[in-house]
Amino acid sequence: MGDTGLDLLRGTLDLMLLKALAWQPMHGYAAAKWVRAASKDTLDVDDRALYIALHRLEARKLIKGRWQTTATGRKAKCYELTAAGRARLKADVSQWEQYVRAMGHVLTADPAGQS
Amino acid sequence: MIDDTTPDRRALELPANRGRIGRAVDAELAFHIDERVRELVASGVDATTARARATAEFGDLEAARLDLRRIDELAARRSWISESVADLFTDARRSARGLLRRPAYALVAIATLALGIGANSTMFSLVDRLLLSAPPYIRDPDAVVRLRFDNAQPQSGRITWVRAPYDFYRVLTEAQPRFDVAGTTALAMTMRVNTEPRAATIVATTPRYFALLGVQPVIGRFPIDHDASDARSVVLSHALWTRELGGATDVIGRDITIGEETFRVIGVAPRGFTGDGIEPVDAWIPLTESTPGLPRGWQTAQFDRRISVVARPAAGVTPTAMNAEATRHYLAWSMAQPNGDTTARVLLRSLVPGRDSDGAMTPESRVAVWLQAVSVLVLIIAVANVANLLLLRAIDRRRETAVCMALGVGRIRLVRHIMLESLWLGGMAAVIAAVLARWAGPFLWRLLLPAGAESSVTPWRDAAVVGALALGSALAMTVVPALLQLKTPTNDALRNGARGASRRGTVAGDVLVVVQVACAVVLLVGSGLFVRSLLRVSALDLGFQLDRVLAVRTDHGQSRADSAVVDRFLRDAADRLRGLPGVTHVAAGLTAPYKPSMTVPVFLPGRTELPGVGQNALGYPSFFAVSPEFFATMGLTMVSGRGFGLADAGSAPRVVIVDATMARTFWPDGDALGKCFHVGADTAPCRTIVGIVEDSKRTPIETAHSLRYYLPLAQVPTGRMERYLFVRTARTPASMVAPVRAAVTAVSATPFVEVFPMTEVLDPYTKPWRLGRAVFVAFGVLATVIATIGLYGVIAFGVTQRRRELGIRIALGAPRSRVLRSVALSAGVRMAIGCVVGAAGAVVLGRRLHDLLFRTSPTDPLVFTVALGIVVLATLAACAVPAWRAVRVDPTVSLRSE
Repeated sequence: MGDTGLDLLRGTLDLMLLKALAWQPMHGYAAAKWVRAASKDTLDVDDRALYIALHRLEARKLIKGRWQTTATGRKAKCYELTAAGRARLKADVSQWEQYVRAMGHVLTADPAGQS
Repeated sequence: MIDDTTPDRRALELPANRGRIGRAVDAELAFHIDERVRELVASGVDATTARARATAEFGDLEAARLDLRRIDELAARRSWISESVADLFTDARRSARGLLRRPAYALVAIATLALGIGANSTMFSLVDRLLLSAPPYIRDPDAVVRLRFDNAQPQSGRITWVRAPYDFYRVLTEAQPRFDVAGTTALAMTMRVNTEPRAATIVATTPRYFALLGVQPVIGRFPIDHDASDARSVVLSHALWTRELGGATDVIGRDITIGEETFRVIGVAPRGFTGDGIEPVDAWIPLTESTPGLPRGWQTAQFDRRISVVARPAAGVTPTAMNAEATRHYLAWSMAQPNGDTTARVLLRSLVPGRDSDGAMTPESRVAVWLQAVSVLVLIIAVANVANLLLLRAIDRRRETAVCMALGVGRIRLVRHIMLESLWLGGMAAVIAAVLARWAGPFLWRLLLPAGAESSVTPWRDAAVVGALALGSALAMTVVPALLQLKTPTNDALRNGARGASRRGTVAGDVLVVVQVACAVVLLVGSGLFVRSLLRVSALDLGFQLDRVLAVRTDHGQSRADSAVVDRFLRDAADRLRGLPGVTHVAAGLTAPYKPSMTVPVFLPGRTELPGVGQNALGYPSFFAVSPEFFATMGLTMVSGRGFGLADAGSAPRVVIVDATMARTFWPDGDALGKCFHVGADTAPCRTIVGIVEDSKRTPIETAHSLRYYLPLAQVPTGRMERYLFVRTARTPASMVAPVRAAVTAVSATPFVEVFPMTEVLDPYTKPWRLGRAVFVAFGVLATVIATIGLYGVIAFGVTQRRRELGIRIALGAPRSRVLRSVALSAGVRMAIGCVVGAAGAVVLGRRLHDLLFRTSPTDPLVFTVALGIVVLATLAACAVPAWRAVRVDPTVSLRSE
């Protein structure tokens, strides 16, 4: 997991999970489903990577895990955003948008560098 | 023991551990697979296929499990550390708040501890200075040794001299031994720095002295060339420099007067530097042939032992080798003397007083060791008292504690709470103790150390001692309540609530009270023994009746006055003093009682030796040269014959007066009067005994009587120009000091004059007892007060605990006297046990105190009775308020409160 491609992917995954949990607390399975659905099934997230990301976020106190009873009566570990997580989400979203805008300009630019 | 009513949230969670983390990860992943299976089954896949597919979709489940565990364990560990630190701060704040809410309890505890710690650290720094440390500023002080000179003595076994004749010092240095040698001699001189002359301790040193010690001056330099340019140079002590010269840096090159001569200041020693000894020194001058204060030809006088010798071996020379070499030189020198001693040897002694094995400990040192022990006792009492308070609180809060524990608050956390509270108390006490020690320290220093001694600068050491004592006390007083906390069965506590105090808790409290009472008894007995010793010493019959006598010391200098001038001065001064109102007698003398006395050989005509001397524990005869009124002034009664008169002048027949023991010992037939003996040499004229006077003691606590005889002042050649006048007053001597001084200085302003009550001369002799009395009494009172507070706490607490029971008893018609008796009994039993234990301890310890006591048995019944009586009174005082409260328990109130 040391090379830049995965790091970038992990960062992206973190952001997606923070976004997912911004709507409502959810467990890992639901988060995975949400990511797939939200990306219109374009992104097929590796489950193991997703759980690792969730636990790392928890360790960084951006999200907090809590055991709750689901609608089906089972105990599941549900994650919710902490205040720090919410702030991080906000910062990351704006940074991501800047990045996307910049990439957009770069990719649509003419030979003189004007978009 | 958590003060907040809401139990700590984290404490309610299960402790984080590997098993729990592993199970949580497993459950989370299992849920994921199960959800996927459920979804697949719902979409029509059969269960077995669904599970296989779900597992396959997830990928390496086992690897994921390991990853997640690792992440969670790391996170758990990190948060545990940060939360623990945060908890510690929270708890510390909570303990502080808890203490602030009970200021009386906190104050008692802190004051108690502060006194205990302060006493200990002060005493430690004293013992350290008196016994354990070499004098300050000496480089590698363990290597430096003092030389002692051990010789066979013709009649009295061996004698170890602390000083050597200069002649030997010269021989030793000329032999160029493999060690550095330096010598000193202390001189009591009159010194004039500004205008007012004063008595000063001057140490004359040989050239290598300062270099050998390895000390550096704070300003200026030490003397280099003793015999030429520096022969009249002086190095001032730091204390003298600051006291008389305001610490000015331009004193170098300034002239001051020592004796009759002018010395140039060339340097100032560091603060607290006292040379190789512990006695303070005012100034150091080079030791030369013509050093003032030394008799002419002193360097060649072979019996004039005045040089203290210190040595430091060269690199690679062992102490044994140095000792052997020094002994070889000393033996060679001794054998060359008349009646050469073939067994002479040199002994080496450490500069550290406590390690000086042959020198018996000074009384001050022994008292200091005792005071250290006593202050340890006080600290034990203090710790026991605070532990008791903590214990009572712990018992008091048992229900609360039980609730906390039932809710999952760890016992360790509760113990930590007690410990934090102890640490707060200890910390506050340490701060106060440090202040206290700074304030009381110098006071005790003045009592125990020679006047003018300064602390060498080691504040960090004092701080470390205070800190260590505070920490130790805090830990010690945590132990008992913490054990109680750890052993309390939760169920019992919940069931009984705060009311039913556990046996274990109260037993621990009782033991602590007994310890306190016992320590107080020990200290009170100690106080009593010292008080009695002091009373007995003060009541001693010295022969002299000194309580109304003033001494006037006059120093006329060697060069300025000749004997005739001095005699005239003294005669005029005596005449003026006789004219003073309140003066009844005036006498003159060559030296004063209890100052160094003079001894010269005595020869009885027709006999070869002095009968009795040295065998019947009689000291060699010493003499006083006195004027006729001396006996009346000093309150000595003539036994028979006559006193001196004006007729006993310089040209008149030689006469002498002997004391009763001398008359009885030398002339056992009772016919001493009219006999004669030679003084100084057997060729001197035989002096006729004209009177016998009562005995007087040479030292207040002499074990062997020293024989004494008196010569008429007019018939003694007076080489020395220091003289004494003695003034007997009808009023208190203290009120007469100023007028006497004025009368003497009115005759002539030239000599140095010092006026002091004769009882002051006795002070050094009674110092150990005065000191012991002062500190034992202070600590004894302190201990009693602390123990009383401790006892009060326990009894008051007991009454509170028994409110319900007492209420029922009173409601059932029990007479108040019986209630009173039951309260008093519970206190009485503890006190009685404490007294028995304490008395036993006092007997055991008293035996070791024996040699510090004066004609007082360590088991003196009166002392024990008084000490135990005080403890009984203190117990009654401690009982009074709780008993009063017990009797006034209102059954309706106490029963309704349950």
